[in-house]
Amino acid sequence: MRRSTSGRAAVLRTPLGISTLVLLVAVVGVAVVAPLVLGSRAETIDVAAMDQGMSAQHLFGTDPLGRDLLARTLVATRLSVVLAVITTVVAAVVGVLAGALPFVLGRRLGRLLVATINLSVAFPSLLLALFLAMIFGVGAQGAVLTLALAMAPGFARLTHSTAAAVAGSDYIAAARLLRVGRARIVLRHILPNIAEPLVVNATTTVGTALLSLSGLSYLGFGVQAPDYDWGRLLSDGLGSIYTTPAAGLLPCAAIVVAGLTFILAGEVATQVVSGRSRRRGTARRVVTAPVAPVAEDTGPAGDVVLRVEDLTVTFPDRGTRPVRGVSFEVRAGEVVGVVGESGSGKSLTAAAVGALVPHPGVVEATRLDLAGRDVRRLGRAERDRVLGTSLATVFQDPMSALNPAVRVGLQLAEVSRVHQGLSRRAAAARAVDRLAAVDIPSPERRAREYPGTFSGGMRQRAMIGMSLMAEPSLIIADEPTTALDVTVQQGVLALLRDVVRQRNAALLFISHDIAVVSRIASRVLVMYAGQIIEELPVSALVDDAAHPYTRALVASIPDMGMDRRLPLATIDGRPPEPDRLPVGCSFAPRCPLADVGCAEQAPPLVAIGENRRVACWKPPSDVGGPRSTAGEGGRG
Amino acid sequence: MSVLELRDVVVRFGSGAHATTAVDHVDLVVDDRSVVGLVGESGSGKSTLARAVVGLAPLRSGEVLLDGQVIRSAGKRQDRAVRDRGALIQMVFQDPYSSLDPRMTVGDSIAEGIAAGRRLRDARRTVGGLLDLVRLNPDHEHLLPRQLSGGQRQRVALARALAADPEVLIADEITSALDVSVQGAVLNLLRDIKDETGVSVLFISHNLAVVRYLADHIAVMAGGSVVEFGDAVQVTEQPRNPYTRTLIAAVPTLLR
Ligand SMILES: Nc1ncnc2c1ncn2[C@@H]1O[C@H](COP(=O)(O)OP(=O)(O)OP(=O)(O)O)[C@@H](O)[C@H]1O
Ligand code: SF4
Ligand SMILES: [Mg+2]
Repeated sequence: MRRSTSGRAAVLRTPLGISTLVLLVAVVGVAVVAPLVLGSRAETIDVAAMDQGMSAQHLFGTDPLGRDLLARTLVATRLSVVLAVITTVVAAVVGVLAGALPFVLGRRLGRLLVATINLSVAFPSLLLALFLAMIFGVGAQGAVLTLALAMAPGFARLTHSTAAAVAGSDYIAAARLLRVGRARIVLRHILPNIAEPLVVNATTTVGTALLSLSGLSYLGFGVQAPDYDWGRLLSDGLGSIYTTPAAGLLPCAAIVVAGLTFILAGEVATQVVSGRSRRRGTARRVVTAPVAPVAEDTGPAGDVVLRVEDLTVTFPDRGTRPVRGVSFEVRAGEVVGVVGESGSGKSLTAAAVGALVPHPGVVEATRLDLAGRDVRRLGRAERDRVLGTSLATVFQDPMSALNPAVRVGLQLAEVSRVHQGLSRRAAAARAVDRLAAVDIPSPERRAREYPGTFSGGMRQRAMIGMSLMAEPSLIIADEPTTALDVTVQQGVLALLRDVVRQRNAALLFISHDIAVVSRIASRVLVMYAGQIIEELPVSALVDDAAHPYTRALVASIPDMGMDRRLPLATIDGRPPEPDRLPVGCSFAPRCPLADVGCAEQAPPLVAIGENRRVACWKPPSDVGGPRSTAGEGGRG
Repeated sequence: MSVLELRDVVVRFGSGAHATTAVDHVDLVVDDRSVVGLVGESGSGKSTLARAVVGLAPLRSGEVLLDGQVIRSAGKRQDRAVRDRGALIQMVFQDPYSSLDPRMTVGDSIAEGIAAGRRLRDARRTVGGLLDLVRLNPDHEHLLPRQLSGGQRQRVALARALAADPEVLIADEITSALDVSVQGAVLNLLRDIKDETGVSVLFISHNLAVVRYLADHIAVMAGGSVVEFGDAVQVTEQPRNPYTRTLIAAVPTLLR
């Protein structure tokens, strides 16, 4: 499971988290312990000590029957909290059932139910509660049912609206095609995916229920003597508020503290749940290797925009290292392509550069310079600033990068307002300008629309437009055209090419499709099982590739001239799993040239000419011109 | 014996001035044991057509027939037996990031397909066998989609659809998120599966080179209509419509 407990703990370590936890433990602890320890003290009638003020024996005084007020307040915790929890559980069960039922019922009945839910949410719940109280009568049981039913519509509505979003997704469509029953769709697909907001809401509701139940008891509808909860104590105590103020103040304080505790707990739960997605953007960076005192003073260094040395990405929770010692450079105005199969580590490499490795991934490198700054050595704020202004990323899935609820223009403008401090108006104008720059027709109108109205190609253009808001020196495009059709794809490639040329930016272009890469890049890095196994100029791809894997990739591109009777060229087998890497060459199990030696020792990545490197024991001897001696030195 | 037939299918979204016609009077036949390739740029209506066939988009007019029996038509709701027959048409979706339940393990997702296959026609496939079929490690059975890369997810979705042992498979851009090397394997696999089981395939892609490899016939779609239909070789070698020629020119190949 990628969602680790340490991730949750992070939220619990904030001041809010800590105080909530302490409060929660205290409230629950008192509810459990107080009746056991203080039970008799709270209930023993002592005629000698009636209506006493504060004293050493009775810290906050006694009630008209001589019972200790503090003890009674503490003992009442159990009943108060238990009733609030029961109310919430009943409300949640009824509400979730009602909210989920429309998905099980036919269309017409479902609509009727949704309308009823919406109506009862709109109906003032206090009125509803009083009305129900008349039906259920006074007493604890009546109060619980009353409140539960008054609160159920809220749950029902939340259930229905979150479930409706889930119900529209492709995986529900797929289940429907398999004729999975409606009830099963709700139970297996919808409820698990909406559980989080429901649990959060329920936690908050306990607090609200506590307040309302106390109110009902106070009014005399709720808990009846000889039982007592805080509301009951309050109404009993109010009569003697002038002689023993604690009789009123103690239960009041208890209600406020306990109510707040659950409301805060709901807040913390929200943060835990949403924090998980937010943390995606903040991976830990760990510097292990001694950092050489270089970087800034060496200047632009032949306008290298990105220099990565010995980069690894590790997931300690799963014990895997999907990126293993990757080194490369990208220069200004250059397009470097990264190709490799799914899972080869392309995206994680890019994510590591942008500090976007998902939690709990650990990024290590001996060098990670962006625009001449070693980003590992920058403070967090400074790092975010450098990344925010020098680096732009364009993803495969523009829909997940664009917020569907915010107008496109505003989302673009946001970048400039945050990173460049532009005014609202200047940022908006710039957004329209950039949308125009990426060839979006009628950019002013489009800027006011929501992403949902954009076609896939237009969304990707908008994303590229967004990447241009801050004049980045490096653009990382991770499969930017994979979701697009070939005609639109060509347009986006042309656009990226223009952007690089006009702004002298560098582009790291990631794709599994070597044909697409060859249309835009000048240099290609081929990745396999977390390593670069070949680096070569695009011109060498067709007939001068050195690594058997690269050659196989090239052969597998379908083109219009191939013989339809033959099967397509494929690469048999599959890449190794990151947790089960072979000892020797990671491609050996699939390599037609592999021999015993290959399986025993991994070939190092050696230079075989300018801008050419290969990691293979048996590259063809006529490849890449004269070999440099630097990396030579075969295996024994 | 399974023939999928679309008669005069129209799908329109919205109403009044805002109405857009996504599919505009399309007739199409996918013969038994054959593959029809549907090409066209995004927004041309390919996916909407596919969704209409499986009942995920409402027909404004026209009908969908399986082996001569109307299984979907505009306005009318078919009875249960007919709807169940609809499950003999399965679809693999374009976006592997949204087509798998994020809370359900790979094995459980595929098991839903297996259950459908068992109900419909006593098909008995196993999760392990299906994972192997789509070249995924059998250990992946216990993983959640978010633990897989994009390409791996799409193979799970393919396994789930195949698990139901369908008569007609609609593959909507299923390889556009796959590795080129895996794409070849999936296309070979799809061809093998078609030969073995006789499943008819409506194969949707924007890449004409891919469609050409797999399809017996090719339909070219633009602006909601089929603008060219013919034998695969003929459409790719002597295209009659200028739009088809644009598509041919756009096929990504290595620049030599
Ligand atoms: N958050 C994560 N936790 C653990 N493992 C992960 C995580 N993200 C990715 N991986 C694993 O790391 C490996 C590399 O993943 P990555 O996403 O970089 O591949 P990729 O080359 O971009 O593949 P694709 O072409 O499918 O996008 C895969 O084996 C993947 O399962
Ligand atoms: S080192 Fe051996 S197994 Fe690896 S790619 Fe080269 S020849 Fe193949
Ligand atoms: Mg990727």
